Amino acid sequence: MNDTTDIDDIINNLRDDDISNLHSGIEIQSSLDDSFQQTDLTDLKKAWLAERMSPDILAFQTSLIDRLMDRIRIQAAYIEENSMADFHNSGDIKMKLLIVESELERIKFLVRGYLRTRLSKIDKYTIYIIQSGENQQEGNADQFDLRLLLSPQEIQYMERHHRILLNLYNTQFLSALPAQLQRLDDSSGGISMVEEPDLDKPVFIRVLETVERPIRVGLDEITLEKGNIYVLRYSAISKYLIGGEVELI
Amino acid sequence: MYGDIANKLIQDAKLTQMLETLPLYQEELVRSIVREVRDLHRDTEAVLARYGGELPTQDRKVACWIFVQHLCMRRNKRCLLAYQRLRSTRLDAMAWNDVDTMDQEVLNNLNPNEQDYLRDYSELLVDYKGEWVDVDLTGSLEPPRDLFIDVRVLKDAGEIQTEYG
Repeated sequence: MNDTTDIDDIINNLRDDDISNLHSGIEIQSSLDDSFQQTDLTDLKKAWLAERMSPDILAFQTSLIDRLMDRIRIQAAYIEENSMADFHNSGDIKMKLLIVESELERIKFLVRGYLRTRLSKIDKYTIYIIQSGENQQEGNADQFDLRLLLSPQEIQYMERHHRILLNLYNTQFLSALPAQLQRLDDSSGGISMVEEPDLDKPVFIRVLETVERPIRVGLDEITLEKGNIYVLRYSAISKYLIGGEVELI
Repeated sequence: MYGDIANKLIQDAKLTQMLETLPLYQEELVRSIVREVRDLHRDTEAVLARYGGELPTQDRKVACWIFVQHLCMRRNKRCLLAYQRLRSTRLDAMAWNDVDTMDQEVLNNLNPNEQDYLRDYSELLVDYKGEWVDVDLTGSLEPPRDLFIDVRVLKDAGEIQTEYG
Protein backbone atom coordinates (compact mmCIF):
# COMPACT_ATOMS: atom_id res chain seq x y z
CA MET A 1 0.00 0.00 0.00
CA ASN A 2 1.15 3.47 -0.74
CA ASP A 3 1.76 5.03 2.65
CA THR A 4 1.17 8.61 1.58
CA THR A 5 -2.29 8.23 0.07
CA ASP A 6 -4.16 8.61 3.31
CA ILE A 7 -2.74 11.93 4.27
CA ASP A 8 -3.03 13.17 0.70
CA ASP A 9 -6.68 12.23 0.65
CA ILE A 10 -7.33 14.14 3.80
CA ILE A 11 -5.58 17.18 2.47
CA ASN A 12 -7.50 17.03 -0.83
CA ASN A 13 -10.74 16.75 1.05
CA LEU A 14 -10.13 19.88 3.04
CA ARG A 15 -12.54 22.57 2.05
CA ASP A 16 -11.21 26.00 1.23
CA ASP A 17 -12.54 27.55 4.38
CA ASP A 18 -10.76 24.88 6.37
CA ILE A 19 -7.56 25.97 4.79
CA SER A 20 -8.14 29.61 5.49
CA ASN A 21 -8.99 28.67 9.06
CA LEU A 22 -5.77 26.80 9.19
CA HIS A 23 -3.82 29.74 7.98
CA SER A 24 -5.37 32.09 10.46
CA GLY A 25 -4.72 29.49 13.13
CA ILE A 26 -1.07 29.39 12.31
CA GLU A 27 -0.51 33.02 11.65
CA ILE A 28 -2.49 34.59 14.43
CA GLN A 29 -0.01 33.03 16.78
CA SER A 30 2.80 35.10 15.51
CA SER A 31 3.27 38.76 16.29
CA LEU A 32 6.27 38.90 14.01
CA ASP A 33 6.55 40.68 10.74
CA ASP A 34 4.67 38.79 8.02
CA SER A 35 7.19 39.35 5.31
CA PHE A 36 9.77 37.41 7.27
CA GLN A 37 7.59 34.34 7.54
CA GLN A 38 7.78 33.08 4.00
CA THR A 39 11.44 33.73 3.47
CA ASP A 40 12.63 32.45 6.82
CA LEU A 41 11.90 28.84 6.03
CA THR A 42 13.57 29.11 2.65
CA ASP A 43 16.51 30.82 4.29
CA LEU A 44 16.78 28.10 6.89
CA LYS A 45 16.83 25.41 4.23
CA LYS A 46 19.45 27.35 2.35
CA ALA A 47 21.59 27.88 5.45
CA TRP A 48 21.34 24.22 6.36
CA LEU A 49 22.29 23.07 2.89
CA ALA A 50 25.13 25.54 2.56
CA GLU A 51 26.52 24.58 5.94
CA ARG A 52 26.43 20.90 5.04
CA MET A 53 28.06 21.41 1.68
CA SER A 54 30.76 23.96 2.36
CA PRO A 55 34.10 22.67 3.63
CA ASP A 56 34.67 25.55 6.05
CA ILE A 57 32.40 27.09 8.62
CA LEU A 58 30.00 29.85 7.56
CA ALA A 59 28.62 32.76 9.55
CA PHE A 60 26.07 31.82 12.18
CA GLN A 61 22.60 33.00 11.15
CA THR A 62 21.88 34.69 14.45
CA SER A 63 18.74 36.66 13.66
CA LEU A 64 17.23 33.95 11.46
CA ILE A 65 17.67 31.30 14.13
CA ASP A 66 16.40 33.65 16.85
CA ARG A 67 13.22 34.37 14.90
CA LEU A 68 12.64 30.71 14.14
CA MET A 69 13.24 29.64 17.72
CA ASP A 70 10.70 32.21 18.90
CA ARG A 71 8.17 30.85 16.49
CA ILE A 72 8.91 27.22 17.35
CA ARG A 73 8.18 28.07 20.97
CA ILE A 74 4.93 29.79 20.04
CA GLN A 75 3.77 26.90 17.90
CA ALA A 76 4.67 24.32 20.50
CA ALA A 77 2.64 26.27 23.05
CA TYR A 78 -0.22 26.46 20.55
CA ILE A 79 -0.26 22.69 20.10
CA GLU A 80 -0.07 22.17 23.84
CA GLU A 81 -2.98 24.52 24.49
CA ASN A 82 -5.30 23.16 21.86
CA SER A 83 -4.66 19.49 22.38
CA MET A 84 -5.61 19.98 26.00
CA ALA A 85 -8.51 22.41 25.66
CA ASP A 86 -10.26 20.86 22.68
CA PHE A 87 -10.03 17.33 23.80
CA HIS A 88 -13.57 16.58 22.71
CA ASN A 89 -13.60 18.83 19.72
CA SER A 90 -14.30 17.80 16.16
CA GLY A 91 -11.81 16.52 13.64
CA ASP A 92 -11.10 20.03 12.42
CA ILE A 93 -8.79 21.05 15.17
CA LYS A 94 -7.10 17.66 15.19
CA MET A 95 -6.29 17.96 11.53
CA LYS A 96 -4.95 21.42 12.09
CA LEU A 97 -2.76 20.31 14.96
CA LEU A 98 -1.53 17.40 12.93
CA ILE A 99 -0.29 19.64 10.18
CA VAL A 100 1.20 22.18 12.54
CA GLU A 101 3.02 19.44 14.39
CA SER A 102 4.37 17.78 11.25
CA GLU A 103 5.67 21.09 10.03
CA LEU A 104 7.14 21.86 13.40
CA GLU A 105 9.01 18.55 13.41
CA ARG A 106 10.43 19.35 10.01
CA ILE A 107 11.67 22.74 11.08
CA LYS A 108 13.15 21.32 14.25
CA PHE A 109 14.94 18.75 12.14
CA LEU A 110 16.46 21.49 10.00
CA VAL A 111 17.57 23.57 12.97
CA ARG A 112 19.00 20.49 14.67
CA GLY A 113 20.86 19.47 11.53
CA TYR A 114 22.17 22.99 11.10
CA LEU A 115 23.51 23.22 14.64
CA ARG A 116 25.00 19.74 14.67
CA THR A 117 26.76 20.24 11.35
CA ARG A 118 28.35 23.35 12.76
CA LEU A 119 29.39 21.59 15.94
CA SER A 120 31.06 18.80 14.01
CA LYS A 121 33.04 21.36 12.01
CA ILE A 122 33.94 23.24 15.16
CA ASP A 123 35.20 20.04 16.77
CA LYS A 124 37.20 19.12 13.71
CA TYR A 125 38.87 22.47 13.11
CA THR A 126 39.11 23.77 16.69
CA ILE A 127 42.82 24.59 16.62
CA TYR A 128 42.58 26.07 13.13
CA ILE A 129 39.79 28.40 14.26
CA ILE A 130 41.57 29.43 17.45
CA GLN A 131 44.79 30.08 15.55
CA SER A 132 43.04 32.26 13.00
CA GLY A 133 42.05 34.57 15.86
CA GLU A 134 45.56 34.61 17.30
CA ASN A 135 47.15 35.31 13.94
CA GLN A 136 44.90 38.26 13.43
CA GLN A 137 45.67 39.70 16.83
CA GLU A 138 49.32 39.52 15.92
CA GLY A 139 48.59 41.86 13.08
CA ASN A 140 48.45 39.35 10.28
CA ALA A 141 45.77 41.02 8.19
CA ASP A 142 45.44 38.23 5.60
CA GLN A 143 43.83 35.95 8.06
CA PHE A 144 40.22 36.39 8.97
CA ASP A 145 39.29 35.72 12.57
CA LEU A 146 37.02 32.72 12.11
CA ARG A 147 35.69 33.06 15.64
CA LEU A 148 33.60 35.98 14.44
CA LEU A 149 31.53 33.45 12.49
CA LEU A 150 30.50 31.54 15.58
CA SER A 151 27.68 32.29 17.97
CA PRO A 152 28.66 33.13 21.57
CA GLN A 153 27.43 29.71 22.69
CA GLU A 154 29.49 28.00 20.02
CA ILE A 155 32.62 29.87 21.08
CA GLN A 156 31.98 28.82 24.65
CA TYR A 157 31.48 25.24 23.56
CA MET A 158 34.63 25.25 21.45
CA GLU A 159 36.85 26.75 24.13
CA ARG A 160 35.60 24.44 26.83
CA HIS A 161 35.91 21.36 24.64
CA HIS A 162 39.41 22.37 23.61
CA ARG A 163 40.37 22.88 27.24
CA ILE A 164 39.20 19.48 28.45
CA LEU A 165 40.68 17.75 25.42
CA LEU A 166 44.04 19.43 25.98
CA ASN A 167 43.84 18.46 29.60
CA LEU A 168 43.23 14.85 28.59
CA TYR A 169 46.22 14.75 26.23
CA ASN A 170 48.43 16.40 28.79
CA THR A 171 47.60 14.13 31.66
CA GLN A 172 47.72 11.03 29.48
CA PHE A 173 51.14 11.47 27.92
CA LEU A 174 51.98 14.90 26.52
CA SER A 175 53.34 16.32 29.78
CA ALA A 176 55.67 13.34 30.07
CA LEU A 177 57.29 14.03 26.70
CA PRO A 178 60.34 16.26 26.25
CA ALA A 179 59.44 19.94 26.35
CA GLN A 180 59.78 20.64 22.64
CA LEU A 181 57.38 17.83 21.79
CA GLN A 182 54.57 18.98 24.02
CA ARG A 183 52.76 21.29 21.67
CA LEU A 184 49.61 20.23 19.85
CA ASP A 185 50.02 22.64 16.96
CA ASP A 186 53.43 21.33 16.06
CA SER A 187 54.36 21.87 12.44
CA SER A 188 58.09 21.14 12.57
CA GLY A 189 59.11 17.90 10.95
CA GLY A 190 57.38 18.91 7.74
CA ILE A 191 53.82 17.88 8.61
CA SER A 192 51.38 20.31 10.14
CA MET A 193 49.42 18.73 12.93
CA VAL A 194 46.56 21.19 12.65
CA GLU A 195 43.68 19.96 10.58
CA GLU A 196 42.48 22.54 8.07
CA PRO A 197 39.37 22.52 5.92
CA ASP A 198 39.98 21.58 2.32
CA LEU A 199 38.97 24.81 0.61
CA ASP A 200 39.61 23.33 -2.81
CA LYS A 201 36.87 20.79 -2.39
CA PRO A 202 34.52 20.80 -5.39
CA VAL A 203 31.01 22.02 -4.66
CA PHE A 204 27.81 22.30 -6.65
CA ILE A 205 26.50 25.82 -6.96
CA ARG A 206 23.51 27.53 -8.49
CA VAL A 207 24.00 31.10 -9.65
CA LEU A 208 21.41 33.56 -8.36
CA GLU A 209 22.88 36.74 -9.85
CA THR A 210 25.07 36.88 -12.92
CA VAL A 211 28.63 37.81 -12.00
CA GLU A 212 29.93 40.09 -14.73
CA ARG A 213 33.62 39.60 -14.17
CA PRO A 214 34.68 36.13 -15.33
CA ILE A 215 36.38 34.03 -12.68
CA ARG A 216 39.58 32.17 -13.27
CA VAL A 217 39.67 28.42 -12.72
CA GLY A 218 43.04 27.00 -13.58
CA LEU A 219 43.57 27.97 -17.21
CA ASP A 220 39.91 28.54 -18.00
CA GLU A 221 37.76 31.57 -17.45
CA ILE A 222 34.14 31.13 -16.51
CA THR A 223 31.33 33.64 -16.36
CA LEU A 224 28.78 32.76 -13.73
CA GLU A 225 25.41 33.21 -15.37
CA LYS A 226 22.14 33.41 -13.55
CA GLY A 227 20.25 30.15 -13.24
CA ASN A 228 23.15 27.96 -14.25
CA ILE A 229 24.56 25.15 -12.15
CA TYR A 230 28.29 24.57 -11.89
CA VAL A 231 30.71 22.28 -10.11
CA LEU A 232 33.64 24.41 -9.01
CA ARG A 233 36.29 24.48 -6.35
CA TYR A 234 34.95 26.03 -3.18
CA SER A 235 37.85 28.49 -3.03
CA ALA A 236 36.86 29.92 -6.43
CA ILE A 237 33.35 30.86 -5.39
CA SER A 238 33.44 31.36 -1.63
CA LYS A 239 33.32 35.14 -1.91
CA TYR A 240 30.24 35.00 -4.14
CA LEU A 241 28.59 32.69 -1.65
CA ILE A 242 29.02 35.28 1.09
CA GLY A 243 27.88 38.01 -1.29
CA GLY A 244 24.74 36.00 -2.09
CA GLU A 245 25.36 35.75 -5.86
CA VAL A 246 25.51 31.96 -5.71
CA GLU A 247 24.07 29.28 -3.46
CA LEU A 248 25.31 25.81 -2.64
CA ILE A 249 23.14 22.92 -3.67
CA MET B 1 63.50 -1.29 16.56
CA TYR B 2 62.38 2.29 17.04
CA GLY B 3 58.68 2.74 16.72
CA ASP B 4 57.74 -0.90 17.09
CA ILE B 5 55.66 -0.34 20.19
CA ALA B 6 53.86 2.55 18.55
CA ASN B 7 52.91 0.19 15.75
CA LYS B 8 51.16 -2.02 18.27
CA LEU B 9 49.22 0.96 19.53
CA ILE B 10 48.12 1.86 16.03
CA GLN B 11 47.01 -1.72 15.44
CA ASP B 12 44.94 -1.46 18.58
CA ALA B 13 43.44 1.78 17.30
CA LYS B 14 42.61 0.11 14.01
CA LEU B 15 40.87 -2.66 15.88
CA THR B 16 39.00 -0.08 17.95
CA GLN B 17 37.58 1.44 14.80
CA MET B 18 35.85 -1.82 14.02
CA LEU B 19 34.46 -2.40 17.49
CA GLU B 20 31.16 -1.15 18.81
CA THR B 21 32.50 -0.39 22.27
CA LEU B 22 35.83 0.98 23.35
CA PRO B 23 38.35 -1.71 24.31
CA LEU B 24 40.60 -1.44 27.34
CA TYR B 25 42.96 1.52 27.44
CA GLN B 26 46.50 0.38 26.60
CA GLU B 27 48.15 1.91 29.63
CA GLU B 28 51.28 -0.22 29.40
CA LEU B 29 51.84 0.44 25.69
CA VAL B 30 51.38 4.16 26.09
CA ARG B 31 53.80 4.24 28.98
CA SER B 32 56.48 2.31 27.11
CA ILE B 33 56.14 4.60 24.10
CA VAL B 34 56.59 7.64 26.31
CA ARG B 35 59.62 5.94 27.83
CA GLU B 36 61.02 5.26 24.36
CA VAL B 37 60.60 8.91 23.40
CA ARG B 38 62.40 10.01 26.55
CA ASP B 39 65.23 7.57 25.93
CA LEU B 40 65.60 8.75 22.35
CA HIS B 41 65.56 12.33 23.54
CA ARG B 42 68.17 11.71 26.24
CA ASP B 43 70.54 9.97 23.82
CA THR B 44 70.11 12.71 21.25
CA GLU B 45 70.75 15.44 23.78
CA ALA B 46 73.86 13.67 25.00
CA VAL B 47 75.30 13.46 21.50
CA LEU B 48 74.30 17.04 20.72
CA ALA B 49 76.01 18.20 23.92
CA ARG B 50 79.25 16.68 22.67
CA TYR B 51 79.01 18.93 19.63
CA GLY B 52 78.21 21.95 21.76
CA GLY B 53 74.44 21.86 21.21
CA GLU B 54 74.75 22.56 17.48
CA LEU B 55 73.82 20.14 14.72
CA PRO B 56 77.19 18.80 13.45
CA THR B 57 76.69 19.57 9.76
CA GLN B 58 80.29 18.57 9.03
CA ASP B 59 79.87 15.07 10.34
CA ARG B 60 77.09 13.75 8.13
CA LYS B 61 76.87 10.38 9.84
CA VAL B 62 76.05 11.94 13.20
CA ALA B 63 73.70 14.50 11.66
CA CYS B 64 71.78 11.75 9.95
CA TRP B 65 71.58 9.77 13.17
CA ILE B 66 70.16 12.75 15.03
CA PHE B 67 67.65 13.32 12.24
CA VAL B 68 66.40 9.74 12.47
CA GLN B 69 66.13 10.01 16.25
CA HIS B 70 63.99 13.10 15.84
CA LEU B 71 61.75 11.51 13.26
CA CYS B 72 61.16 8.54 15.55
CA MET B 73 60.21 10.78 18.43
CA ARG B 74 57.77 12.70 16.31
CA ARG B 75 56.30 9.57 14.86
CA ASN B 76 55.76 8.18 18.33
CA LYS B 77 54.07 11.37 19.38
CA ARG B 78 51.77 11.29 16.39
CA CYS B 79 50.84 7.69 17.13
CA LEU B 80 50.01 8.56 20.71
CA LEU B 81 47.89 11.49 19.63
CA ALA B 82 46.09 9.51 16.96
CA TYR B 83 45.28 6.80 19.47
CA GLN B 84 43.97 9.22 22.07
CA ARG B 85 42.13 11.26 19.45
CA LEU B 86 40.26 8.21 18.25
CA ARG B 87 39.30 7.31 21.78
CA SER B 88 38.22 10.82 22.73
CA THR B 89 36.08 11.07 19.60
CA ARG B 90 34.41 7.85 20.65
CA LEU B 91 33.90 9.26 24.12
CA ASP B 92 32.25 12.31 22.57
CA ALA B 93 29.93 10.06 20.62
CA MET B 94 29.08 8.22 23.82
CA ALA B 95 28.14 11.50 25.46
CA TRP B 96 25.90 12.38 22.50
CA ASN B 97 24.22 9.00 22.63
CA ASP B 98 23.51 9.55 26.28
CA VAL B 99 25.51 6.62 27.61
CA ASP B 100 25.23 6.46 31.35
CA THR B 101 28.50 7.98 32.59
CA MET B 102 28.18 6.10 35.86
CA ASP B 103 27.79 2.70 34.25
CA GLN B 104 30.66 0.55 35.51
CA GLU B 105 30.79 -1.58 32.39
CA VAL B 106 31.46 1.48 30.31
CA LEU B 107 33.96 2.94 32.74
CA ASN B 108 35.98 -0.22 33.20
CA ASN B 109 37.69 0.12 29.84
CA LEU B 110 38.61 3.75 30.38
CA ASN B 111 41.51 4.99 32.40
CA PRO B 112 40.80 7.62 35.11
CA ASN B 113 41.72 10.57 32.90
CA GLU B 114 39.35 9.39 30.21
CA GLN B 115 36.61 8.98 32.77
CA ASP B 116 37.15 12.58 33.83
CA TYR B 117 37.04 13.67 30.22
CA LEU B 118 33.81 11.81 29.55
CA ARG B 119 32.22 13.43 32.58
CA ASP B 120 33.45 16.89 31.61
CA TYR B 121 32.28 16.55 28.04
CA SER B 122 28.87 15.30 29.10
CA GLU B 123 28.51 18.35 31.33
CA LEU B 124 29.57 20.61 28.50
CA LEU B 125 27.03 18.99 26.23
CA VAL B 126 24.23 19.37 28.75
CA ASP B 127 25.05 23.07 28.96
CA TYR B 128 25.10 23.55 25.21
CA LYS B 129 21.94 21.53 24.72
CA GLY B 130 20.31 23.65 27.41
CA GLU B 131 20.44 26.58 24.98
CA TRP B 132 18.38 24.62 22.47
CA VAL B 133 15.82 22.65 24.47
CA ASP B 134 13.13 23.37 21.91
CA VAL B 135 14.78 21.53 19.07
CA ASP B 136 16.18 18.61 21.08
CA LEU B 137 19.73 18.53 19.73
CA THR B 138 20.26 14.83 20.41
CA GLY B 139 17.11 13.99 18.47
CA SER B 140 17.16 11.95 15.32
CA LEU B 141 19.22 13.18 12.41
CA GLU B 142 16.93 11.35 10.00
CA PRO B 143 14.41 13.65 8.36
CA PRO B 144 10.95 13.17 9.85
CA ARG B 145 8.46 11.63 7.43
CA ASP B 146 5.30 11.20 9.34
CA LEU B 147 4.04 11.80 12.81
CA PHE B 148 2.17 8.54 12.71
CA ILE B 149 2.69 5.10 11.37
CA ASP B 150 0.18 3.37 9.16
CA VAL B 151 -1.63 0.39 10.54
CA ARG B 152 -4.10 -1.93 9.00
CA VAL B 153 -6.73 -3.16 11.40
CA LEU B 154 -6.79 -6.92 11.29
CA LYS B 155 -9.00 -7.54 14.27
CA ASP B 156 -11.47 -5.30 15.97
CA ALA B 157 -9.42 -3.86 18.83
CA GLY B 158 -12.13 -1.75 20.39
CA GLU B 159 -11.71 1.87 21.32
CA ILE B 160 -8.20 3.20 21.78
CA GLN B 161 -7.08 6.46 23.33
CA THR B 162 -4.58 8.72 21.54
CA GLU B 163 -2.80 11.92 22.36
CA TYR B 164 -5.53 13.93 20.66
CA GLY B 165 -8.41 12.03 22.20
